[in-house]
Amino acid sequence: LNDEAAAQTLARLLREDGTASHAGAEEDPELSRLLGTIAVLREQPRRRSHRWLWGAAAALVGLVAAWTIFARSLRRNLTYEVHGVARIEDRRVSAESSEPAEIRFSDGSTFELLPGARLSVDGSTPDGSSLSLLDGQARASVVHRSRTHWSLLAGPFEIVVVGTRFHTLWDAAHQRLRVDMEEGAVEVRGASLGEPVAVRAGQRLEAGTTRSDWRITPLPTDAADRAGATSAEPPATPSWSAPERPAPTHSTERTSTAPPAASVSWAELMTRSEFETIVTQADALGLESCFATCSPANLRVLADAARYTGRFELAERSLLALRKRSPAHAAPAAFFLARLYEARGRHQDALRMYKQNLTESPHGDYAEEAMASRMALLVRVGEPAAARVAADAYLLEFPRGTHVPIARRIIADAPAP
Amino acid sequence: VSSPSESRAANIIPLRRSQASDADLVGAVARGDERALAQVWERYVREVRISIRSSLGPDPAVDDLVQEVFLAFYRGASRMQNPRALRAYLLGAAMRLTAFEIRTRRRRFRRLRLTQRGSLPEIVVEATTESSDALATLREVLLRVRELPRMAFELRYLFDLSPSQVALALEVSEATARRAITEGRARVLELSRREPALAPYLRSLPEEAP
Repeated sequence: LNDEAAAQTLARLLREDGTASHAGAEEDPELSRLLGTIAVLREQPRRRSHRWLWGAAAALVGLVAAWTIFARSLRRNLTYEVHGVARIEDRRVSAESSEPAEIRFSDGSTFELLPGARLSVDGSTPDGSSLSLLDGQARASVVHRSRTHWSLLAGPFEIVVVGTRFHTLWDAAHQRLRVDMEEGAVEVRGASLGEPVAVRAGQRLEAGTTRSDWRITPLPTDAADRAGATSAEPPATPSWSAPERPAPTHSTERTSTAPPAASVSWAELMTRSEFETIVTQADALGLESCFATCSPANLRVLADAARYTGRFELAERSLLALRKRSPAHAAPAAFFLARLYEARGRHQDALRMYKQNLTESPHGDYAEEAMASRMALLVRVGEPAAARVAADAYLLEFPRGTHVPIARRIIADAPAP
Repeated sequence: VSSPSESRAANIIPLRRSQASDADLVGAVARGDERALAQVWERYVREVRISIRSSLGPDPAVDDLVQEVFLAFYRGASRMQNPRALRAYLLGAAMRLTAFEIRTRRRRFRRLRLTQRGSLPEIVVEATTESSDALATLREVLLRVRELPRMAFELRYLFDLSPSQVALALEVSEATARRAITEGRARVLELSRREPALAPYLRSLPEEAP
């Protein structure tokens, strides 16, 4: 009660102050001022308030900012688990001599270490990891995503991966690298390579540490060899015999030290890199006769051998014969012809053959590479509009493909249609 | 075809000054009747001015704030949900506008204090014509009380609004209004009892035993 009374006493003090006199309604200048303001407001068309629009825009900006922060917080570095029997020291994983081990990353990528292989995980980002193959063989399966970036070091070499499957072997004792591409493409740098070298699906890169000691060959078509390459059992010896072999001065001019192989198949000779022998035997048979009677598989081998020995005309004729003789091999032959023409600077012929490959086998093994090579070649020959169309087609067909960044760049650089 | 001003004029119903209820006046103002607005002004301008002066004192901004209160009413009359609570509406609007003015000045004052010229007391609680030290002290006391309890205290004791009307004026629930009144009263009295200038007003009313 006392508090109530005290509060009212204080309030009375305030109220008395407000009893200051003011004029009556008719004479009050403040009322006239108010009515004058209202008159002005009436004359002005009332502007529609866009406050809600500003509020919505601010809310949208806030929402985007919040989402960006949230999305960034979700982008954590990749993690990995080691499966199988392996010795783990810090970041180094060593497969036992008799058992393979597998490193599984949180994005689904895997690196299978064949028995005896040693690999170190040097670092991880949300987009990939840096690894070092210290010795032995590893089979990689990297999941392709929009910003994927993986790097595999092997001695002085670096294999830059976007998304692919490949088998790699680093022979630390002989300082030699082998990369067998099963899917997609990688870029290999360092040591003997000089400039970065792209290795595509169906190719094998072999490289040493001395200058120009490298070569790219087709992956062996022989099933046993391929199986051996992917088997958990390591080969008794690497498929090369370096360093006893003299380092070649050019990848396509290797001289074989293997024994003559009259009694072995051309496929076998190919795996031994005896390209000259294959060509010599074809010459001995008679080229026209061979084109008419050799098996499609041998024609394909002959084309490769001719290419590696610098006999491009023979390679072209072999592939043309293959196209003529075997409808089943026509599309791949068109692809290899395109590659051959591209390497020889016959760009229009190359474009025609890439298109031929895509027409004959739109979903074949070489379709993605043909589309990617064609769009890149169109840029090089100064046809950006056509390149843009080709890039669009590539993105449509292979939205998660290895060459998506290149296709997007082509579209971005091309003039608007 | 009649012009907009003619059609507006047709909506204006003359009101007899003495008989019009608050609800009638609100309805007329909503239809654009300036004479009704003048009647509202005449009826409530004194209390609106008191409510603003209770916090600001004889400040040059008082008249402008009074204008803003009535302009806000003129614009919002058609949206008033309870036209009968016109008094509470106007006093609540006056309280909120004054509180906003105080907050603005405090922010500006804080920034100015950072300058080399020192402080600039912008809240004029004392004018040269102020005759009562007690009044000036009471205003200082009120400014030290939190915003909602201060407004609730003034509405309750200065204008004798019921707790439900205070709730309506401040746009809060009745429970919140009751708590704010209690807190405001307790805080104002606590601070006032420390002030010698206010002692004569509280002397005859001994403190309650705890």
